[in-house]
Amino acid sequence: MEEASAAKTGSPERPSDRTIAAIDIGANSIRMVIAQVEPDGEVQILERFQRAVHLGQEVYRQGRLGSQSMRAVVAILRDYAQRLRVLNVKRVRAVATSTGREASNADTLWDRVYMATGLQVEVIDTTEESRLIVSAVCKELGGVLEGGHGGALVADVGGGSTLLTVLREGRIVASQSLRLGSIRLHEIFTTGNESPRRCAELYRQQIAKETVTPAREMSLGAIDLFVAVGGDARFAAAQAGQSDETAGVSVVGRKPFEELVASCEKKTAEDLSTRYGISFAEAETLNPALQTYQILWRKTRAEKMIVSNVSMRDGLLLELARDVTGREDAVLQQSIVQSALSLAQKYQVDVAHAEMVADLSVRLFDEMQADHGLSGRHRILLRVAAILHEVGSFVSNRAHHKHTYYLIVNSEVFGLSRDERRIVAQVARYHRRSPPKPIHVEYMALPRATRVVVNKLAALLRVADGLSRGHIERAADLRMERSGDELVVYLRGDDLFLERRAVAAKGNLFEEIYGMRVRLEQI
Amino acid sequence: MSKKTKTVPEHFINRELSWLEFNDRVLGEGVATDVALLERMKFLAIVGSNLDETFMIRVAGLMQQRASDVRRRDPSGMTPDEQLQAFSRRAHRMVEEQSTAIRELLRQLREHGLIVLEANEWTAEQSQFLAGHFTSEIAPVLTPLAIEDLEPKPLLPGLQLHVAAVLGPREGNDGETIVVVPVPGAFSRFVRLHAGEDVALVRLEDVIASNVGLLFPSREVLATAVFRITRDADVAIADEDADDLLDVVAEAVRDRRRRAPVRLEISARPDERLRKWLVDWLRLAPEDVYEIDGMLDATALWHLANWPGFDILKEPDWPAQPPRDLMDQDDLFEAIRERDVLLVHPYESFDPVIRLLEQAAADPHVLSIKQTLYRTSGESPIIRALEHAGGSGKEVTVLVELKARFDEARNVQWAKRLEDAGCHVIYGIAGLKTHAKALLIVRRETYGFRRYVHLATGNYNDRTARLYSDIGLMTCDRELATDVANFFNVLTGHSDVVGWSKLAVAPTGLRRRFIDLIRREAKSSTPDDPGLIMAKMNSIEDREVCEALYEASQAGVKVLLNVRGICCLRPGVKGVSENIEVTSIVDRFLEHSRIFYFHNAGHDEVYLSSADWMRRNLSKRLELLFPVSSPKPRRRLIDMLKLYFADNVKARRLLPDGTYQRVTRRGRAVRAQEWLHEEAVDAAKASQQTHLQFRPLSRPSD
Repeated sequence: MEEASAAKTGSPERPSDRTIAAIDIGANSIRMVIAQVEPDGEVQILERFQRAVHLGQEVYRQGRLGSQSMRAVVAILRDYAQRLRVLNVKRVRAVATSTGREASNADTLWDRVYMATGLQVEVIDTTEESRLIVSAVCKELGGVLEGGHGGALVADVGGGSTLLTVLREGRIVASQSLRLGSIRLHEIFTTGNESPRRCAELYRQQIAKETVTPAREMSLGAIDLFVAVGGDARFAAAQAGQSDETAGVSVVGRKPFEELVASCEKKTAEDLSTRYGISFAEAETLNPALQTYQILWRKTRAEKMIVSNVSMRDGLLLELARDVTGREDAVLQQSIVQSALSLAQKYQVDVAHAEMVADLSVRLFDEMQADHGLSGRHRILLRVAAILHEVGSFVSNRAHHKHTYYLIVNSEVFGLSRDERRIVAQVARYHRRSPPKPIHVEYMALPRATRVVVNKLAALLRVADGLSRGHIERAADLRMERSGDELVVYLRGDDLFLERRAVAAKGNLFEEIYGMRVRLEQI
Repeated sequence: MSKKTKTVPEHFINRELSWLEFNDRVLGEGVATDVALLERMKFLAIVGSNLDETFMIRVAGLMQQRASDVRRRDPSGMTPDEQLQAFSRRAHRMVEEQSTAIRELLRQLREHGLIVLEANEWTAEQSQFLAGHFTSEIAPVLTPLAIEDLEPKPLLPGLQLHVAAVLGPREGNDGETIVVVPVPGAFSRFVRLHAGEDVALVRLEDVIASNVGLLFPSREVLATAVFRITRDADVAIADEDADDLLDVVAEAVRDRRRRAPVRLEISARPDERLRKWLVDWLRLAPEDVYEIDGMLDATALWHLANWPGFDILKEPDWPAQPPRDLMDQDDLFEAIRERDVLLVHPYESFDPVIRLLEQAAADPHVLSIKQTLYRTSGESPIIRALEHAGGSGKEVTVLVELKARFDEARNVQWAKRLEDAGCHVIYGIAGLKTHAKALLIVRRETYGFRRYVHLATGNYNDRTARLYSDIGLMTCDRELATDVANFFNVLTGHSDVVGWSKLAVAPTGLRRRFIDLIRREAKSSTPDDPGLIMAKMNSIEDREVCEALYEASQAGVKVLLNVRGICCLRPGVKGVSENIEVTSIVDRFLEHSRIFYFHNAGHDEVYLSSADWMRRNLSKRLELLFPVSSPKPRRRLIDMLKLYFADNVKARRLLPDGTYQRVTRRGRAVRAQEWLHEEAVDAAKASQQTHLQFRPLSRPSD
């Protein structure tokens, strides 16, 4: 019966097309979530996996992974890969966070994993990690995040790092990562001889030191909504919180939380483990994590701590789900653009011009969709490149495109991964002067597929930049039409001299890539 | 909430004595005049097998503690020795009552033509016939043991009947001798005499005892007696049912006590020399000897209870009905997609569970089947369906619990068969008995995978499902399905324990969850809207749960407990448990379901579980608790609980002194099991009527 209805609607989809999986190689464990994307785009969790492997201990102490841990990781991932085969899951993202970033011999491990399982592990940087977490939190909490006038702080205290993101009116306005994590603190400060009280003191000093600057830069004093992400926050919620049925999250008041922390920090890991029925490994890192939340919370004006149930894996799943449905997350896109605009302002770019170039670029992108076949994600990268293409002028007007390149590569743009930032930097770099050449080292360092993307996007940006050289004030003032091997752009204005000249100078790459000439016509 | 009262031993009832009280309630059904005679016979047989098991495991465990010089007191404040003394006193009284009841029942059966003759009633003709029967049929397989002369002494097997005889001196020389003749287990316990229309039976041991002289032609038989030894269960399984006792017992003691005698049953008024010799040899204390006036080993009464014919002496059959939630549903997947299906066994048939598996096995869209199996029968259609599925290339994972008591050998056999069929078989989890009952079917459908889940309070055993009252739930609930999938991933070693969204799982979080639920009830209870907990299960023994219930009672929560077996919680203690009522139902079906209801300030919650509120369930087993959240099944379970507390026919109330009393009947008689049966019949009838179609026939054309 179902087969028949599927045939009727003409979409006999295979479940495997809608099945996704996220694997997260963390400091304490390797977890996997298998989910499927429902027809309405919702993500339905199918199965969760978690296996303990204490990579953080080794990495934060010795800077590298031991051979035993590596074997354990390979064995676990081999088992996970087997589970994925049973459900025929094709869309999989396996990511590693702080331990992956910091272990000097991580690449060897990823190679062994690949050889054993076919899984390609991506090491993601803190910006991407926060982006994933925040996108999942936004999905989970929805309107709650827009409630606070002073803004919301999303804090994820992980094993190796703490990720902080500030949102105002639902948009991300600042984000930072601190080298402060529960396992890291435990590994650095605990030799096994200290009393729980002494440990707490040491943790506190370190946390206080690490949080001074971010608190100032992110104006945490104004924050009136404190959202905590992470297993230790969930522990606090289970012990001292109340569940908010409507939002499906737990809320912890200041007083019960302070009492919980005060009581926990007096206890040894053994006591914590027996008292609360948690594993010894969890117990060991509970106090540093709780104290980090506590100190961050104290810096804000928030009355309550909202404890989220999501994790980075949920963010990964949302992203994989967007691959399935083809829908992009509007909130997230806005946050990325917002972050790019802040950066542009920081380098004193003419933002109005930058935004117009961005709009024009995107118009061209949409017009040429059939020719370049790029995704929505590339569209946003193009927009960011357009917004930032002139940041290099801040350094010097001479060869400013080259300054643009390194400024972008070395700045953080919320929501973009390191690799994506590199694409953006390349596209922006090629907005003028020479198109990509084999002698350009950074360009040639990119994988071939990425170089093609850079070419396609840079070609669009150059034309957009050229079009913006004259009279038009709004991107809406023009119209495009494809005619044979020409892209005809109709513009308002009596004299298109400037535009024609600019496009003639910059359109070469476009012609080369798309096999079309750009011709300007008056309306 | 009022301040927590510290619990003292007086707040608890001793577990062993509580178990004896349960057995006393079973005995009560054996003497109940409103129960059919042969049905009563079954209850008297159960009293026997219950006692056997208790002696082998619990009494044996306490004896080990005593031998180890453990003086640890149980929650009710008794030392092992005190418990043994009290147990023995109560058990002696019970055995006497049981024997009297059996004699009385046998007397009544005579009036209906089912006659068990005592040896002294045999006619000369009958005696002669039996002597011939003995010589030709029985004697050839007997192995008489001149037990006094044998060194080392043979280890007479536990639970087997033996005939002992004192033989007079041989001509001239030595004195009297004791010989022991084991009663062969291969024969039926009853020998039928040809006596016209009536069924006339004699007991095998009587035939042997009366004719034992034929084995020793040159000796005189001075006295005979029938006896039966019960021994410490010498298998590892005792660990699980007596681990609370044995964890403090020294290994050396355990070795020494292995298969040690714990009880001697002997026919009444035995020869003194014989008795003394046996007691000395077995090293038993006087209180461990049970003289039985009548029939030893009452478990053989099952033969009589099931004797063909005599239908008038049996309870009317209550055949299982088609489940209410599945009327006219051929496609179970479709039915479960439409709504959650509640199965109330044995009133409703267990077949759908088997059919679900068979359907899954045959369905090409089904990708995987995962199931726990505990105490199932080898010939079970469940095993056949799983074999079929394994053979068709699906991923079939079966967790087989081999520690299920007394069933190991049988279990291994069919587990191997499953493996041969291509199923992935897991032989249990080290250190934990898997008691959870869960089935997960993953099916590929138009828009992705859909998971079908069956969770239950009872085992996947089509035979016990006809006798045990259990509840099953079939659902597609996503969160529950994910939890169950995760549960299997944990069982199969693919994952550590992850958080659960709807399930609670023992041994990691089930006790805490129960206690949290009880505490929440206490917290939300107000004088205007007092809390209410209704729970039904087999046993309550876990101390922490009891204490939480006491706190709830003190906070004004009404606590209604329907506990079939052991209840260590003492109700009705002023200032402690005044708001707690405990009742127990022993009727024709074995009450086995575990249902938990919490008023939750008006947001009713109902849960089902495989676990009792016992330490072993919450600490030593893998058990599941799951919510029933769809409105209809939830409502139905609440009504069912209310029905159990309304029962005034079979229910007995636990009094503060630890004894039980029949519930006083006011108004019309309510017998929960009968009610549930009739309800199931009515639902089936109603459905037949609604689906009865009148098709007017048109005039036949020419």
